Amino acid sequence: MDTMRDGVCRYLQFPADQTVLILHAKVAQKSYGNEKRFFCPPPCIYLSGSGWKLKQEQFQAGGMEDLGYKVCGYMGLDGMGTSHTETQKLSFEEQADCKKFSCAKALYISDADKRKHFQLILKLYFSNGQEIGTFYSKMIKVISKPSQKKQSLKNADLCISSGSKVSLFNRLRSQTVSTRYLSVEGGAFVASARQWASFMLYLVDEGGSSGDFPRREGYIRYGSVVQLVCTVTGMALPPMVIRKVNKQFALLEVDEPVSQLHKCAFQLQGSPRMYLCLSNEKVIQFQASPCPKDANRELLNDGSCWTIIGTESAEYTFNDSLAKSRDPVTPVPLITSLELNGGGDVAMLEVHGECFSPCLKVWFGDVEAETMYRNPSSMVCVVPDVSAFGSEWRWLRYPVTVPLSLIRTDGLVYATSFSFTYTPEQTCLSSQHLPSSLSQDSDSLLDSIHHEFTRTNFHLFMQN
Amino acid sequence: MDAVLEHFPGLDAFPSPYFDEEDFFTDQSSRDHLDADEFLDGRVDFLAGQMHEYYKEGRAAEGGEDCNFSFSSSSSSSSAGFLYECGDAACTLSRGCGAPRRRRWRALRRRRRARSEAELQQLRQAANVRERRRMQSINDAFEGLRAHIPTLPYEKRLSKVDTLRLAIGYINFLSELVQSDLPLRSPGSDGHSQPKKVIICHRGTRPPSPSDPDYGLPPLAGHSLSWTDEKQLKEQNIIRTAKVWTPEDPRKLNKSSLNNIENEPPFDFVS
Repeated sequence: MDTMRDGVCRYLQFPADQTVLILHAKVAQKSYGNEKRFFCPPPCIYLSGSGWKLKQEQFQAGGMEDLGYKVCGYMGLDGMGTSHTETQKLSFEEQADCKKFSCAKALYISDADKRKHFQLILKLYFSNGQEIGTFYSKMIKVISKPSQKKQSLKNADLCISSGSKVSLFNRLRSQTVSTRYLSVEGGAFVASARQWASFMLYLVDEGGSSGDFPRREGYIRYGSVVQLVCTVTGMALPPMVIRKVNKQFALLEVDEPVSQLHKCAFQLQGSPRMYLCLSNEKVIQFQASPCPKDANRELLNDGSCWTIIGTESAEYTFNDSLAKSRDPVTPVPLITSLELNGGGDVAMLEVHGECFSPCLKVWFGDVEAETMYRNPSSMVCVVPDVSAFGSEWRWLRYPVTVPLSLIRTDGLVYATSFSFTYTPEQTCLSSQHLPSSLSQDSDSLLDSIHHEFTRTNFHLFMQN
Repeated sequence: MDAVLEHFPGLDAFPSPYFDEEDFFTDQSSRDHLDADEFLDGRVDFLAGQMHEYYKEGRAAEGGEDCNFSFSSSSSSSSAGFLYECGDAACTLSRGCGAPRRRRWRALRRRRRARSEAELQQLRQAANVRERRRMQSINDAFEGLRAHIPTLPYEKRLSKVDTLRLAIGYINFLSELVQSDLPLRSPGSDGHSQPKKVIICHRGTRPPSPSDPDYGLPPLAGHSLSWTDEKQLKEQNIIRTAKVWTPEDPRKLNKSSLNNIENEPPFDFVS
């Protein structure tokens, strides 16, 4: 028991986690008959965290031949499509930022599959055959083709809400090979043929054009001012007006909601018909030509027409440095929300999420909490007393923040993004009890200090 | 500081018993530590010196075989009269003993066998008086300290140990008051997203001890519990610290060599 605590303590000092990130689109277009409409943007997998390197070093120290520790994997659709014809082998390449990257470029869903939603399955192995686990994407909605009708807000899951993540890509003359994705490399926006980034798309308050990205809630409509912020690098494009595109024309008077896989254009706010445009790798501005016949149209070029699509990500983090078994790390539990109950003598923390099992315990820092499993999406645990983190008075007088982890009975650690804080609560030495003005004569000041001392230190008087 | 001290009338009254003593000590030798100027120069030094002196004397006295002192822990109010009664005996004895105390004691010791029963009686009385005086001064010091410690209205007189205990607590309390200029945070003022404040009280914590650095600070009502989702914070942070990158305008690029300006983020976004 205590050795486990020591182990967790060591882990928390140097949390060499392994993280699997699956990045994918929210919707997928169905392939009819023999056609193969590959998912666009292609689902991507990033392996990050120092744990992967550590694992590699462990394998090397164990005398594994060079290729033994390579990570390889397969990606396919969940459900019946588990046959190997439907899955795609992945090979990972190491990037400059030490992340391992791979993408599944040739996945599609046939019209024979009648489901409205599906998930991607990712199976990861070390090349020596040791299974890492089976990971799932978020739900993907199947659509037949981009909506041609004026989008209604009733069809909310096709609309794009402010603050959600999107990918933008450009395809010249509908040629798959020419597809370029908006991305950020080396501090600049680029049109990459290889990699795509997901961007937070925000409605910007048109009143407050400068400052702290004033954000608005709601669905994105054509004609509104938006801002795109890269979720990884934090790079942003200036505020732009999103325009509907029809046959290479930007339509200025359209204000319907933006829908998945729509073609759109981004006019830099306040500029003379300047649009976000790609020129090979580069992202530049392009000045559209006014349309002589229609003042509400502006003629674009190919490079300034973008397809917009919502994206999702599924992230799994684990650490096997304390694990006693080589069982797959999946299913990786995920905490979505917490709820505190009780108080007084005992406080309970309700943990809501996914993939819970009876072999998981909640840990507050290096302290294991008494945990009760309810169902795969709910657990309850007893909040440990703050004195469990150290008996010194400092632990009581200053706020204590500890990370929350879920630890499987075999010692596999799942870090969570949640942390828990104990804040000392005084029996308020509050301003009402102490005279604030110095003008009061010091007799009454002393009186009130005396009073406050006896009031708050009643326990000292009662000690004998 | 002076202003505050003025309102501790007890401090001035504090050394008064020692001045009283001068009435029955005409001898120079017994005055050498009781100079009135010393009181004014440094009260604390004086007190420390005085205590030390008494302590030494007491120890030396205990060493003597047949010195059976009556250690009375009488309170100041009851023993004052008694001290006056014994005053004469003390005076007669200490008269003529001009040598420093240590030497004087050794001299007494050497001469002991020669002394008569009456003389021994006198000696014992004198020792008793000295011990009473020592206790008296300690008690008076405690009384002075006691006068500065706030007590509950219905509290009976504080014992010495409680006086010390509370003094420690009170000093800690005052220094906390000075340091934390602002009163401690009022409940419910912080902007946690959690709807209600859940507080746990302490289970299994030990009672406060005077050696705790927080002794005398208001006891904790408990700890309020809260949680944060770093993922959420991270996303909010990305938006807040976003750096704006403006695409180049190729037309400007051809016209001007100052095209770099175009790539500079607007000043508003430079953090």
